[in-house]
Amino acid sequence: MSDAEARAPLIADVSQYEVDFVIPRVGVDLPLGIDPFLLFKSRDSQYRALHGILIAAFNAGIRAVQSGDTEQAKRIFDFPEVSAIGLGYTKRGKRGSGLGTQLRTLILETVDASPNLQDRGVRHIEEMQLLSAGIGPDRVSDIAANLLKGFLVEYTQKQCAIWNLPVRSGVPVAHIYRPSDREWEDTYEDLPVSPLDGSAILLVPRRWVRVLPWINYDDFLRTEFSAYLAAQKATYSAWTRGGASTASEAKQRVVGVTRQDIRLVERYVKAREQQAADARPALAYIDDDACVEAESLKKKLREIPSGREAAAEYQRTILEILNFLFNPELINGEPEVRTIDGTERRDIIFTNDSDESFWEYIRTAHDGILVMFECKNTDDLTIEAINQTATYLGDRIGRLGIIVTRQNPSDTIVRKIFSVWNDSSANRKVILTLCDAQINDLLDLLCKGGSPTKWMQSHYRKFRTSVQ
Amino acid sequence: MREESAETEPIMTKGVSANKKAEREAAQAAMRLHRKRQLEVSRSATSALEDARRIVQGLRRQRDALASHLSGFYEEIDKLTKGKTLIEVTPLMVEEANEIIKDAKTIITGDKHLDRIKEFVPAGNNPVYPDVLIVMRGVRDSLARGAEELKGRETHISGLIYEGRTVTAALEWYEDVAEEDAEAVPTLDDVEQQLGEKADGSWFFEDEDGEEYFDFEKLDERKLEKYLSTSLRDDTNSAAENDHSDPEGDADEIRTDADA
Repeated sequence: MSDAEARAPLIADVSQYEVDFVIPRVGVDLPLGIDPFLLFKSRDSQYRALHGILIAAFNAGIRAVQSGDTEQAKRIFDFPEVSAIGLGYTKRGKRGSGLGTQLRTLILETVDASPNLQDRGVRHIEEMQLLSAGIGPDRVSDIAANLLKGFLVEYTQKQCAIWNLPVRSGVPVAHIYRPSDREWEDTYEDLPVSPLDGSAILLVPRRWVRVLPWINYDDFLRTEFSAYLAAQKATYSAWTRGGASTASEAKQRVVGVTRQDIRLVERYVKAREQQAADARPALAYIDDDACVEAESLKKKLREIPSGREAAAEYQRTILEILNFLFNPELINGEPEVRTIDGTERRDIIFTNDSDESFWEYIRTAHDGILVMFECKNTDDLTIEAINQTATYLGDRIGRLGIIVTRQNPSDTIVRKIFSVWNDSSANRKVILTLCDAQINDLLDLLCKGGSPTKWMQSHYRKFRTSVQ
Repeated sequence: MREESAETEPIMTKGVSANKKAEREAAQAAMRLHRKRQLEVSRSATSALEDARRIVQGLRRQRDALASHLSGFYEEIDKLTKGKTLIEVTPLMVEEANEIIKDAKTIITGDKHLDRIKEFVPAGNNPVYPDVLIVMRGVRDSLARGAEELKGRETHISGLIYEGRTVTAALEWYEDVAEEDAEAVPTLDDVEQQLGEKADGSWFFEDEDGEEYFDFEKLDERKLEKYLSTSLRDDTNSAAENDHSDPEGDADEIRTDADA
């Protein structure tokens, strides 16, 4: 297999830019991992709940060690590599290092040797990197992938339905964690499979992945541990000269300290939590040409005729465009179809999990974590369409709605949109519109390295100042 | 037949005379009623003008206070702007700037430059120092223009109130004497006595005998409700303009009432 073949996407006809998940590559792992911290800091309650499951499972294992129930601890700390997600740090091959049993031994040994950890438990499983010489970022991702596999199966199935990806029925999936009784189970699921070996593919949200976890050993060394050494009037290089000749030996010495004084870990973790806004998902792995992608999407949009017949195609293209423009700020874009008075309405609901100041503002000012984009494949937006959108805005999906349509709205429609704002003084509703020309501008902007989010901020400001 | 004619002629003359008297009394009654209505309008319009002047005086006080407040704010922003070209201002400054813009728009109306200034919408990012400075400069200038405009408005309203009081006093004097003499006209002295202060001389004309009399003709030509309103445009209403622009107006109604 050539290098190019080995890096080819496992799923054809979908660009990495246009989807919510990381597209696995043929025969090679992407040098990324699931960073549980991105779930911890998420505004999405489902993601935060998943982080809760991770921590609860891990702490249950720690308690089992503490109470001497080694068998139970071994059952919980059973984290074989999840090759189905196609993420890892090995240079070649999709199987990673396959060190599930070794990982269990490392965890058990670490917990056993650290009474402080037994008393305290963990706030983040990434802390294990700071307490065990053998646990690195890849193992953190493995632990997370194992404990979250049930969610990943459902997520993969949902994405396959959205993007019409081929799935095979009854694909065996082993080792799915069941939080209710802390057991693992094997099942058969309808999932996409690798063309190489027919094994299951599990898709991972782009919002979850980073090259290194936010809480990581290297950063800990640079910050908290350096400060610790400075307080002792020592430097890291001088300190490691006292018996460590390799990085591995040095880490062994470091974890010897952290196991004795877990407050070092606590302080570091607290500092990282305070910097959570800077913990962003990775983007660098996307190596497609943004300008080619932008041109392709412009062409696709241009070729869709306006009118109800092409509404579904229009909605899907808009979803691709919005993912290209705003993911991973707006995530989990889901198309929905509603029928009102015999009229088919198609909209796309995104989860606003962004750390960008504008989207943060929208989340706070318009009461919601969701942002609705309503697709109207028409040249002539009607007042009824505005009324319908206004009706949908509220507690459930927040109070910002964006109507994506083909042409700039008429003055009458603009006045109607203003009146929606004026008539909702207690809980202001904002309806913005995005037409083809503006979408093309946004695509060009992204191609030139500009920020679509900044464009939206300016678009929003224009509305708010016009309505004053 | 002739005798009959001789007997009926004086009766007819008497009848004509009675008719004329009745017509005159009716006309006088109509005039009294007309003046009574004018008095009501004059009182109510003058009272409305006094309210309007109080509002303008309030606005002038608010403008002065805002201008003083803005002067301090502008000075501070000006100092802070130096060397901070692309730094966002603090949320407190945005809030303060927006309050100033909002207050200025409440006080100063009809200034197209101020109308163009909008409150800042941070939407996640506050404006940078120079932007706030420029906008505050615009507001400061509009407040300066507004000071002149408000002063002019107050002067204009005060003038109208003076006229309204003069007209009211003249009509009140008329009301007192009208039962005895429906065609009585007060002199300047009569009105000033009624008013308790100097009357507006523009409402009087000088007779051949050198005495100044209240100009009821001018009053009848005016649409009083409009004339004694705060609109500056109404101030320029000439009698001729009234006559031509609205033949169905009060001036016509006066004649209709009198004829009736």
